[in-house]
Amino acid sequence: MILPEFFALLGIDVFLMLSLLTCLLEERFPKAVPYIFQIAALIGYGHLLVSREFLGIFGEDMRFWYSFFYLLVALGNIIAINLYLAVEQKLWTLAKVWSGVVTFPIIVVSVFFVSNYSSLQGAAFPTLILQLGLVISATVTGVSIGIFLSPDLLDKLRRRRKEVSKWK
Amino acid sequence: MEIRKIQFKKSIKFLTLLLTAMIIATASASVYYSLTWQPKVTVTAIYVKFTSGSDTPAGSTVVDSWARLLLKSYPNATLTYEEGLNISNADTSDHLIRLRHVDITPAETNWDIGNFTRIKFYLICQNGTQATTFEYTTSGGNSWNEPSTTAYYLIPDGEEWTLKVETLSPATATAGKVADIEIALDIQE
Repeated sequence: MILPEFFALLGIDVFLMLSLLTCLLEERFPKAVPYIFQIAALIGYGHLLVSREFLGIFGEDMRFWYSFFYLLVALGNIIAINLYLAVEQKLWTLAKVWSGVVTFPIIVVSVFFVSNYSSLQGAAFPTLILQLGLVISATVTGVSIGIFLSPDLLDKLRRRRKEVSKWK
Repeated sequence: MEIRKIQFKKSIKFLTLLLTAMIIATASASVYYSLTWQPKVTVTAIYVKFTSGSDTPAGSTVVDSWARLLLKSYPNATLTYEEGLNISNADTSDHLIRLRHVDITPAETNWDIGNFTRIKFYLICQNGTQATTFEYTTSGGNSWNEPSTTAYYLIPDGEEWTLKVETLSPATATAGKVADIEIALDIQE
């Protein structure tokens, strides 16, 4: 059974991963960014400690919502980085890679666990949105994996489309 | 030379971040793990409980969760406690109950066992029908025939069932000999 704090744990791991990735791509980001993400992860750790100490006082719903909010902030940061790379830095290829390798897979994982939790615990959550999110994210991730494994896949598709339009 | 310096600096920075990331991740996971091992136990009122019957012997102790009956047994005469003990379902839902043997003294091979012929418990529903029996008999004067655990019986909410008890000793029984029986009443949620 998943505890509501699992989402906080997931959020912490997302922040830590962001910290390491932004460190690897440090030329594209301000220098302080990896450290800010580490601090955000530390805040999450404190968040877990507080949750443990007041487990008896906080209700299940409250624990779910504040843990989920933390995860949401972490996911927001991933998307923000994606937008930063695409819009601010104009690094389209990197932004596409980031969305395929980081943004969507993490959204798939998060949506999967949230939908799993909400169906088990009966949390008031719009399950249709979750399922839609899961399907969209899984599709994008699948396409990304396909392109990653066979980079000339897109070219082949384009060529085939051209040939079909020629015959028409 | 300059590039190498930059690479080295970047590696150190990355390794430091990796190390702290691992520490934070491990500490967080251990906190989460400790959370999963914090079961909450709440004391609640007992819903299927023992209550005294009209024939509960004087001096017996009957509290909600356990009962000690001080029964008698006459030589060569069957003694019946029509309403020896009641089992009451005070819950708003039905429950399954059964009787299970736990222990009996005198222990096997003790010749005092021969002072008893049988001790029989009847589980009677509220409408008077008999759900099951639970009977201790003796054989050879030094051995008990213990009953096997009964099946589960559904006691509807708000009903009160009865345990009728019958005792019998042989004509040669010695006064003052005691048999202690421990029976468990298993209740399913």
